[in-house]
Formats: sequence, C-alpha cells, structure tokens
Amino acid sequence: MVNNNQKKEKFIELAKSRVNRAINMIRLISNLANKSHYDYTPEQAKKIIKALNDEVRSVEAKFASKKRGTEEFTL
Amino acid sequence: MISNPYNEELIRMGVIREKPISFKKTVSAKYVFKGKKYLSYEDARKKILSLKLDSVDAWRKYAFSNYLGAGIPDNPDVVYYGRGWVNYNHWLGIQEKSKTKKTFVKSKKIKKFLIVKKSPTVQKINTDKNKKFIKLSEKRMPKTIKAIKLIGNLSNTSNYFYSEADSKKINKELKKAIKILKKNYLKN
Repeated sequence: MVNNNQKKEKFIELAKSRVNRAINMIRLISNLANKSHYDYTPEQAKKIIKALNDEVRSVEAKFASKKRGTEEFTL
Repeated sequence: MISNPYNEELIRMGVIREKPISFKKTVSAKYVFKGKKYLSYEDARKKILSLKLDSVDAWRKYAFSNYLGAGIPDNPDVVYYGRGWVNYNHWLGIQEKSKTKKTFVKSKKIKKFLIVKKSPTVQKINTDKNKKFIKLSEKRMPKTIKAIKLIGNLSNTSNYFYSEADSKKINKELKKAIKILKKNYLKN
C-alpha cells in the first residue's frame, strides 16, 4: 500500500496548509467585528456569519459523503 | 396500589402509608424531541420567566452563552411547535404593547410605522466606518470562501487518503474558528 501512504502524506501536507490558511482568513474577518475601527448593521453581520457557516457545512457534507471509501478492504 | 387485605391491615396499624410516596416532579421530562427529553412548555417557561429577559435579543445572547438547565431547549420555537408554543413574547413574558396599538391603526399606517422604527438603527451607524467595513469584508470574504472550498477538495478519495478522524478534526477546527467569529460579532 505504498500508493495509499503517498496519498496520505499528500493529504496531511495539504490539509495542514489549507486549514491553517482558512482559519487565518476567518480570524481576519472576525477582526472586522471590532466596533472601534469598523461599524456594521446586524444584517451585515448575519450575512457574513451565514455565508461562512454554509461554506463550512458544505465541506463537512463533502467529507461525510465519502466516508465509505476510506476503509481498506481486508480478508 | 393494588388492594390487598394484607396491605389494608398494615395501613390500619399505621405501618405503611395509604398512598405510595409520589416522586416530586423535578424533572418531568414529558417530550422527547430528536432523542432529547424536554420539560413541558409551561414548566420550561416558568423557569425562563424567572430570568426576566426583556427582549428576544437578550434571550438569544443568554441562550447562546449560558446553560439553561435540564430539559430546557435553546430553540423552544422548534421544540414546542404544536405543543403549546405561542411566540417569543409569550415565552419570555414580554407584554405586547405594540399589538394593542396596531389594532386601532389601519394597515397602510402600520407599514409607515415600521419604516420609522427601523431607520434610527441605521442612522446610529457610523457611515465612514461602515464603508471601511464593507470595503474590507468584500475583499476578504471571497478569499476565505475560496480557501474553505479548497479544503473540501481534499475529500476526493482518488487523489487523497485519509481516516475519518482526520476529516473530523478538520471540521472541528473550522467550526471552532467560526464559533469565535460569531461570538465577536454578537458581542456588540
């Protein structure tokens, strides 16, 4: 299963960089909540929260739909 | 209790009480909703009324940040739908002043009244700061959404191999980040 090992390494490498990047970006957006520098209506805040929540949920759904394929077949 | 000559004699002698001791209804979880037990609407409402929350927003903030107690849902409108749910004003014990007024006003006037009510919140906002906010959020939001979408591509099992724990960890981290963001926005 050399192939699977390579795939796993690739996954870990990319997941690390991508998740860290996404979390940093989300942190940048939550910086905008600081009312001493920025101002926003509750609707705008809701819009932002909703958009991000939907995106995260769709990622979760993507992973959940492919759960079965991850288990190795053994005899 | 089953009537039984032996028991009746014991009752006469005062050995046992006539009625079995009833358990107090401390957690009389009557409703099961999606696998969880909840109090009946009235019982749960009594506990919420003691908090004396004065608006729906205050309730949301409270329910978001505090533990409400056993058998009290943080989404009562869903849990008690069709089981005694009226509305949030009834749930929190807020007197509905505006409703009594509205009955005297014609429907056209109500629309005007609502518009006037909304405008002060808009005026309060600092327009310069709001412009800054819009400019930056429009810049950053597409980038973050792209970054999150890229993570979803990792679910492709023909290119990557991962365990369930890995994907769960990713979801957990993302949700954590968004929870913090939500808190920051709802604080103000």
